[in-house]
Amino acid sequence: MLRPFLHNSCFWLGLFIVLTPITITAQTPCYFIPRVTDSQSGEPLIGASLKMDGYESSMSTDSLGMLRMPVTCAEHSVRFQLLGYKPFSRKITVSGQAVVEITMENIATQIEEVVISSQGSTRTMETPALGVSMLNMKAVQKLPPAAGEVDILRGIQTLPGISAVGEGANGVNIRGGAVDQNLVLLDNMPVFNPTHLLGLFSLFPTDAIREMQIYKGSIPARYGGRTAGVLDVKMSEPNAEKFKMKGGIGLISNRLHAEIPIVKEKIAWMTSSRFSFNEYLIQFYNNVLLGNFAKRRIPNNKPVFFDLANKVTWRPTSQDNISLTSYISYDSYRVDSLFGIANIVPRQSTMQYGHNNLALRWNHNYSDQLNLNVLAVQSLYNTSTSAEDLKVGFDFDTRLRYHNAKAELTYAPNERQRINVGASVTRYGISPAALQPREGSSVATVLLPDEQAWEVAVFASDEYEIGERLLIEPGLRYVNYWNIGPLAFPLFSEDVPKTPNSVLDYLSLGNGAVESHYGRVEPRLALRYKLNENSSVKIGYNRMNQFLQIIANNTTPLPNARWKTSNRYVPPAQSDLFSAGYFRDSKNRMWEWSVEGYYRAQRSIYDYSNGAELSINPLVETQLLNGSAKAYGAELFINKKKGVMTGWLSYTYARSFQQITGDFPELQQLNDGDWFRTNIDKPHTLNVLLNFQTEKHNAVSFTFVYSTGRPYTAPVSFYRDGFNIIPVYTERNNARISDYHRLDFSWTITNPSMKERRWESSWVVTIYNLYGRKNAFSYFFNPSLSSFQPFKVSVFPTPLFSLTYNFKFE
Amino acid sequence: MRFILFAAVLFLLPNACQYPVGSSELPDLKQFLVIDAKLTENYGKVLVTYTLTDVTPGGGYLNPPPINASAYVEDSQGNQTYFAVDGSINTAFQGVVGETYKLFVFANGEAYESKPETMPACPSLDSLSVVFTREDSRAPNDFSYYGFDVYAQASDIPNQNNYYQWDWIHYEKAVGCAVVQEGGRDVLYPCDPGDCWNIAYNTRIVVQSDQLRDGQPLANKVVRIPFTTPPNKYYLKVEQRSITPTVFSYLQSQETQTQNVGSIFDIPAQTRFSPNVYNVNNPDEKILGVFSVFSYRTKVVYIDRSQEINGVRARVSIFRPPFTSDPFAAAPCVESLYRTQNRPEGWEE
Repeated sequence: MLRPFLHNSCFWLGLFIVLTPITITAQTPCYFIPRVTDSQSGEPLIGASLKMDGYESSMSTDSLGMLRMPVTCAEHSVRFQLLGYKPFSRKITVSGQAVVEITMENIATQIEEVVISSQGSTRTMETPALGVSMLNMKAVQKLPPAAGEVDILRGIQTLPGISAVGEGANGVNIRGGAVDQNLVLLDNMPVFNPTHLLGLFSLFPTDAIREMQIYKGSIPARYGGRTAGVLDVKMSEPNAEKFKMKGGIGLISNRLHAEIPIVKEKIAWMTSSRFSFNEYLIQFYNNVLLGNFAKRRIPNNKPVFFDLANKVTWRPTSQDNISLTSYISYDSYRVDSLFGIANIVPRQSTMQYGHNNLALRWNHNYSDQLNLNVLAVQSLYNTSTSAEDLKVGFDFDTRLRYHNAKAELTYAPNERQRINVGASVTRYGISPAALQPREGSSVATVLLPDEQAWEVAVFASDEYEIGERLLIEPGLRYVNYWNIGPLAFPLFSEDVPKTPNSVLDYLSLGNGAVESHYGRVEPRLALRYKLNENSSVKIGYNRMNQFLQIIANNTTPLPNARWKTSNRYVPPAQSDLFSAGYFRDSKNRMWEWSVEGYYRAQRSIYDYSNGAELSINPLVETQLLNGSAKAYGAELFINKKKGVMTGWLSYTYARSFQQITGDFPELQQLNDGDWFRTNIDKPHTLNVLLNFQTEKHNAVSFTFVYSTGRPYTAPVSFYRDGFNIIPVYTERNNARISDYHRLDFSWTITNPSMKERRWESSWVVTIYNLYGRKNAFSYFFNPSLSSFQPFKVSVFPTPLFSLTYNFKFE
Repeated sequence: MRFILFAAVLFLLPNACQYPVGSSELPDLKQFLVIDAKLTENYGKVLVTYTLTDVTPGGGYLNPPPINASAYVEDSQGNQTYFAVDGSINTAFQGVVGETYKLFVFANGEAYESKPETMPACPSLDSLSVVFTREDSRAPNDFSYYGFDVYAQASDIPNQNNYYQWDWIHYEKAVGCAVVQEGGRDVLYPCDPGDCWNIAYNTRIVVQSDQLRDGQPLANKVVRIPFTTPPNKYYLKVEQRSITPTVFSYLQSQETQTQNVGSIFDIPAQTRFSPNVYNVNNPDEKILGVFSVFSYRTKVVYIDRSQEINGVRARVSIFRPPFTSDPFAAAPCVESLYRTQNRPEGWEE
């Protein structure tokens, strides 16, 4: 039940204050105090590393783009490096404590020397954060893509601790979390389904992306609302000085991206689109070529998708940066007998879904120490499923509305401390189901009532360096959640399992009336202790709560899966994550490696009763079985960041279990109430990524992936029922599918003419699944196909060759 | 070839590429008791057996051992009807709509009972609607690429929860009753007597509730008949059953586990054990099968496959050897599950 607000908040706030150090600084004659910003947007750049007078300094810029280094009062040779930016080199005379403005040019989209890193140029061992990876698009583009599509989600699965149930999964799993337990942000706008084409390709417009931060361990207090991880994808800033254009023609989609200065150095516009029109090519093939040359007709699933990102930035003053970002995605896909409602499975249905997102952001630098960030976000995720059936045709729509306002203040009183405070207000609105019959259909109209909720959070964190070795970052997030009317809320008997017959009454709530309220405190802690100049140990702890989740029992959720807000019968999921790690890099920073371990405990996770009907069930609480989950593992990461050969090797040992008891264990528990393996329990995962680039025009990449097969449920008996042989299943996930492994290859030829022109082009040749292994997504038994022989579902069973042409004009 | 690859990639997801798994270790097999009983207005049958005992590497099975059991059904007035437990039809039992029945089984020294089940009324099966379609998801060489979707149309009884199951049976005149080697080649022997019919059965579970259609006309797809020949005139008898909610949920679970599998969107496999039969002394014993009490209506439809439809003609789907040259040779029409001399209901020559 609800815990008293004052009791908990006072305890944690007290702890926070105790952990926050008091600032005492010493005085030295001269300090080098740079402020490093993006040359286009003026945004402070975090993590730019400093090399002074030819020596690595082991210092990097903070969230204000600043650092503070005691130096002799003289001229110094200064070099800053940051992944995705052109290195900055200059001689600078330091004569006091004045701030030196330094701008760096974004070159993330240029193809040049490859630097693939989990942390950019920042030394991983320096930061307090655990389990944080940063990938820029240049690194992702070097990963051999499936069917020629550069894919962020597939790319991050090469990092330790991140996996998916298989190819075609509708998202990734981070350290034992479900796909809906990740907060996926695209330029601060939440994305509720990060994939195109039913999970085949990720949704992000690759040309518009600058970098991506993946938080799987230490999650800063400014993030909340999910229990597993955060994928924070940042779009590039449009170039305000000169027109740029680039694009590509690929197997699956075509791309076009432009950056247009509107008012030089003040206002700029970026537009980036990706679109597929291959439906018409399939029709052409079927209608024109069939009968002449082809022997086999291609099933026309009418696949269409596009996404369109726009960003306008305005710099009214040197202290202000205002941006307006929009993102639209759309998918349409025709499927046969895949989607049904309440046992009505139409012969054919067309599934359409997409986002319509908008974000307005204002960034203001009050001073070198103080920065304000204000944000207003709207994210709409709509799905529409049309069943084209003469007798049981229907239209089925779902809507998810997310509105958020957030303000965040960063204050760095000195070079050893950085304080971040803020507040966030979120409004959720869900229209879970609107079922309308088509003409001549016998299906009834079903309109489930809207769900509405508020989530209000305040947060604070303080990164502080104590001495030369210890860096500590305590954080605290306090979140309040209200599920509100108008609604008629069912009240169930507490003496029996929830069924339609156990509804005692309906609670009638007016507009804004509160049905249930949760107040939750989320402490966060990250701590680094430097052992020497090249190694450190870190520990971290997170508590996270989640008030919005997917209600679906498929192996991977369908795009139109139902989202549900928490209420008194569906408490928010809660997760505690403990992690610790050892980090080391070589003296020349060519190599870095780390070992991390973690343990996660989750409460209020849900499984489903046998034969659960979820899509249009007005009493969906009757279908839910609550339980707990736990996950633990160890991750090894070895990264070569520079040189002709770059790449990384990651090995993960990870386990994931759940225990489902329901409210009435004797009637509802799964697997006799014991802990059992989840769908994503894959103990061993090995990823190797190698990139070779001996000169500017050619680069070759290989990716090798291996993982233990994931669990599935195998029958323990069979019986004959009439003319059918029926498999009998008892314990969930009692067997494993075969192990997964795959080798991919990619060859990029840049600027084949080898002449310096404004128009540059490149060709990318890829072969995905080079040796054509028929990796299993799942096993199943179908007595109508063969009595007892299992079958496997394979998504990419053959080598996939693709050729992509990219161009760039500046 | 870009679009070909594209389509191939996209085709994989909902339909998925399915391959037999060469070798797969199954968990240790367990054995369960199966008690399956059906009562209708004009017959009843009870089957008591065990699950199949073993699975061979080639995908075969071994039959369960015989079981020593007896069974009877009791109505609300205490009237008892005894049944053999081999699944044979007992027409001595005549069920009544609205009456409540309980099943009692004694097997291997244990007593089993069912929860009481009441026979629901079945609305009339108004008509069978036949719609010619092409299914693009199938390969063009699939016999069901062109075919007829058969819908059962009925009027739901309003203001009550109703649950339906549809079944079908197909008869066609047997052209021959044996294939015999004669002079080094296969020949067909005609049937004796000539009135002999081959039988084909439904092997899929088709169930529906009126959750979305209370009181409205029902139209539920029962089967897809391929556009092939012979026979040109395709006989189909559809049976519409009104079943209890308990049986509906049991069959729905079976349907999910056996028919809606093979895509990446499968739901976790989980068997629903008998919802209404239990061991009196050990209610935790997991029993398979269900005690089903239902009423039913039937209707016959003929599907004409002799005409060209939308420019498409029926494909020949059966290769038959030539008849024997011996004018007196014939093979007996032996009564079995798959062949009968009894004229089907509503048969037209």
